[in-house]
Amino acid sequence: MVSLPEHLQAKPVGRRRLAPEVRAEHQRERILDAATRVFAERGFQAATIDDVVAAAKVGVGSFYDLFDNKADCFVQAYSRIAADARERIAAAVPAEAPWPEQATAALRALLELIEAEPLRAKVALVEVQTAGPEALTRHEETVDAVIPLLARGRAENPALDDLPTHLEEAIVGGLAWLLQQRLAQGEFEGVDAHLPDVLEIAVVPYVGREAVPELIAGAGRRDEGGSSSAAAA
Amino acid sequence: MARHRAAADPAAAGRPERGDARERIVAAMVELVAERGYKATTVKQLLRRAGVGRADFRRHFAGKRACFLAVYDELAERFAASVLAAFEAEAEWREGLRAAAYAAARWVGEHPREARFATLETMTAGDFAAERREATLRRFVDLVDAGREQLDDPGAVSRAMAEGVVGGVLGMLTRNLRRGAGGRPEDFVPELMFLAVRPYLGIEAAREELTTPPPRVVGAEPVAGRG
Repeated sequence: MVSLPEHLQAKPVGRRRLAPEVRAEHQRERILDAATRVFAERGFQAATIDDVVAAAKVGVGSFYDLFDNKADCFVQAYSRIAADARERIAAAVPAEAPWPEQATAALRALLELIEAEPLRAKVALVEVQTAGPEALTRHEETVDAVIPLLARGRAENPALDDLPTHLEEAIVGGLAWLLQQRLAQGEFEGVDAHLPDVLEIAVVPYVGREAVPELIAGAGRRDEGGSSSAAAA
Repeated sequence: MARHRAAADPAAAGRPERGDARERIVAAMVELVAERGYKATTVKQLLRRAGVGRADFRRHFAGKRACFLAVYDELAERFAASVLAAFEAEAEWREGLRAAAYAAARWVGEHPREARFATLETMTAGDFAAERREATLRRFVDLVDAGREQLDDPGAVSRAMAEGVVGGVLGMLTRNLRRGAGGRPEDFVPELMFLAVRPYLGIEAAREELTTPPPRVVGAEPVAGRG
């Protein structure tokens, strides 16, 4: 018999039985969801704590129990979006595939996330720019985490041992900016519209432009195998 | 009108010694925003730093935001003019871009406060400034995007590539300003040229850029070696 993990086992439920920390967590999630919507729709600068608590249908006191101020609420909303995105993108990357396919899968997953959750994308890519120094620092950390993953592409072509040391930093900066621009101007046109540009910026420096059509096609038809180049790794 | 500023302010370097109230307000705005950010800067501080009265301020600017935007426009115009002039002085795209990159790097090196004002602080000041910043950046995207004419098939690379290059450069610049990282801006140019040239002229041309020395600039002001 499979038994449920302890925290899922039947227990007398009901509001009064919930531990205070569980209730606080529910409340926090509820406020962060509302804050994400408010920040995306109104912009961080224009949004007020009143907007957030109204959207979350909680009292101002509940807000201040959990957050220091608007900027703190933003940082927490941002961190949650970034952590979810990291997790979901990682899950989309085939573990055994060669780097170009992994990078393509990751970038496609990123674009899919943006398409599926435009409000969260706007918060994480656009509003983060104006949400204060702590938000910018968090955003830099998110972006920095991508750098070593991208740098693995250097191994694709040993002849390119003299690639610039800041190449990856510039690539992620360029990608972030491009996506930010498209979202800010409401010009995000879907995964297929942007994948070629994104690959040109992030993958072509390592593997050349010739590889792109196959990478784009390959990411869609994974089941046909593709072990030819995997053996090299 | 007070002609004299309050005594010895260590931040006075670079401020016009004389000049009209407007110039002094502009200089004070750049300094204060670079020092403490747009939001923390108040009109009262501006008046004190500039040594002007509120009426003088009102005569030139409707308020703090209008002043900020006017200062941004002036800085962006001066910066863009020097960069575009360097580009246009060369016959070829690649040489033009390199000259433009060095002109931009020299400007940043010589005007660290202005650079901070126009990039980092303009970014964080709020949505009202973003539009201006993007209009400036579009001019530089145009320069990079002109590289498509170097391709047999200009349709092989989209404008998004040029946006990626300019965005990447901007990201590196703001990151370095935020961290107060050392190094002369000129030292980054070969890498930036690698990034800009690679999509249009290929990886070999891009690698050449890593070892290409700066162009000789006739009549360029020496870079102040401080910082």
